[in-house]
Amino acid sequence: MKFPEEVLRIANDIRLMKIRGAGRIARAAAHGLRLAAQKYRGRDRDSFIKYMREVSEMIKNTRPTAVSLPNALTYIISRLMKRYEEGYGLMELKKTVIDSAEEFISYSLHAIKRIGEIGAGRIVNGDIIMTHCNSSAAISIIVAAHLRGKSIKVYATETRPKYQGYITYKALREKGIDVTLIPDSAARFFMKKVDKVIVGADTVASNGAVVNKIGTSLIALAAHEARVNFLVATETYKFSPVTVIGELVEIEERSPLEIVDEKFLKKNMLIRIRNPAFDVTPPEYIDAIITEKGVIPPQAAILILKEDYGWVIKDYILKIVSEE
Amino acid sequence: MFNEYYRDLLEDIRYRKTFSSSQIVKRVLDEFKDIAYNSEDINNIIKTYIFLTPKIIELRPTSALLANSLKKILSGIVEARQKLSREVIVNIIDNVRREIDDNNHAVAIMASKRISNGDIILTFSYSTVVLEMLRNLVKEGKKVEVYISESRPEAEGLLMAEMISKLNIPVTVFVDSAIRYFMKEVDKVVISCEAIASNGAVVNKIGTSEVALAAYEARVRVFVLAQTYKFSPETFFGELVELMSYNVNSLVNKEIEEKIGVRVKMSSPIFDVTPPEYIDAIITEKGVIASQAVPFILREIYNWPLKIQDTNLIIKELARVVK
Repeated sequence: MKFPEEVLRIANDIRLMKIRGAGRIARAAAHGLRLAAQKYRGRDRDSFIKYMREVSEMIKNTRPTAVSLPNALTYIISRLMKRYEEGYGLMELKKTVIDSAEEFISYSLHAIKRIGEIGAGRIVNGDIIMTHCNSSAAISIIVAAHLRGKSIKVYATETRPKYQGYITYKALREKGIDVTLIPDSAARFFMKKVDKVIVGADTVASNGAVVNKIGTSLIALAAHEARVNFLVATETYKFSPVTVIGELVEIEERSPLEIVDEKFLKKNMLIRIRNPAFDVTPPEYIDAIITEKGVIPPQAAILILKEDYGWVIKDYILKIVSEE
Repeated sequence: MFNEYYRDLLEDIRYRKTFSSSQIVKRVLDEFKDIAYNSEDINNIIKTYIFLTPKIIELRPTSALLANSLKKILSGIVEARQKLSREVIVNIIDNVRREIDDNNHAVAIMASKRISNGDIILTFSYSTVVLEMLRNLVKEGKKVEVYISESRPEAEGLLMAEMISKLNIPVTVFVDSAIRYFMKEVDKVVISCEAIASNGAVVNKIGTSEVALAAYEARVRVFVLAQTYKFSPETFFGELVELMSYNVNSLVNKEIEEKIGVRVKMSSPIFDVTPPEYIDAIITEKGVIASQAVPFILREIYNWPLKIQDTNLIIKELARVVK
């Protein structure tokens, strides 16, 4: 069966980064599944399941690195499968998809707010904070602290190649926060003046390593060198259950045209442009991960994974064993 | 009158149209030679130098090469005051220029010896002496590969990449923040600099200290190519090297700013300081030294205790030469 137009558009927007940021991607994916269920015109439950699985697979393949995407999809599909196995009819199954998508979206939005509340406690009056790229969770913390009357100054990196730092700048400026943009290469220079670094995450691996926008690990290194606290703000659905069974997180390499223009490429055929979108920050450079469930040291990532995804992980392990 | 006439030169330095400090110095020395050729009157020539020198140094206070070579020329003229002629002045300038070139050749040759066949070299920003080293490697038949980041905001890393690829050396370009991501693949970091302080700290384009830090973490060696003209003797007496800042207009991406609809505040120095502990060796025309051995070289050049002349004092003496 063909996928509905609206669902294809969402998938495409994720692929083209019109929808960016792990949280927004996850919510868009959930919304996509909801739409797909609503638009389904078939009559039997078996083809509905097949169709939903295909839609889910199609959305999942848009961006390889962000784990929030498969996690959002698994959240919904696993609930659907449970109902299916229990023998529910088509109408019920559709309702399950729509309900769990809505549940996920509201959970996700609530999580950002909760992270803000928890994280704001870590901010002290007069703090100078550095942030990288554009993270809703990190912004939520900074804004929450600001609303509690704490005086804060922020350095935001411009974040080449796509300049997401400008979006962060705008979000903070609109709340009346004093923010200055800096080039990525000046992060170490300014680190001496900084009290805390707060960044978001795309994926958290089971050992506590954080996959985030390219440059995050360099900033973490500079913070570590200057003994500046390095905090990661992230929802728990960015923790990656597959890393528990040894899977590596694939780092997406994007188009060279994000860095140079067509003219440069044509003129310099011998120059190779590489554009990894993410890097990996080792857990030893991270002081804490702030989630909606609480603040954990990165090495305790497995706790979140076992609590939230125990059933998924069990499935994966069963699958490995049965394939052996 | 003077301002009008030398505007091109000064604007070029001010707006950083020339990235390499060696190139800027050559540009200035050529201009000084032209001044000598174009005037019959020695007094006029010297007056023009007296007028231009502080202005030039003020526009790029970080460049030790620029300040040191101008000082050398002016004090050369003071020393030769008894027998001054146009030819003598041109000769003094030519000698300094030749010395700078010879020094760079020596540095490039020694540097290329430190590179092994098959090395992946990471370099940063734009440097003529690094290019010369790479040219030597091609001549010697050593196969190397170069990694370089774009160097925001001026993107002179892209220009450097073009120059390197013209030597038929494979070159890979990425954004500045990807330095740590790629450092694991790198064998050696080779960079040039603006100035070296007496404690061995290296002043170079903003981001250099991040490169050095990431290299240190990955246990990749860092070599700094610096002829001794780039050593700043003033720092021995406690002077700080002045790190100029970019003006906002050259930093902000107007297109993105317009798209988000907010005027942004942006700030950055042009240079940063890399501490000596992240540098494995400084390669000078006098040999390869540890960064902590800079005072030793300073003693060799300026005697002990260091006798360095202040630019203003030299200019005062020069003013006395003019009748």
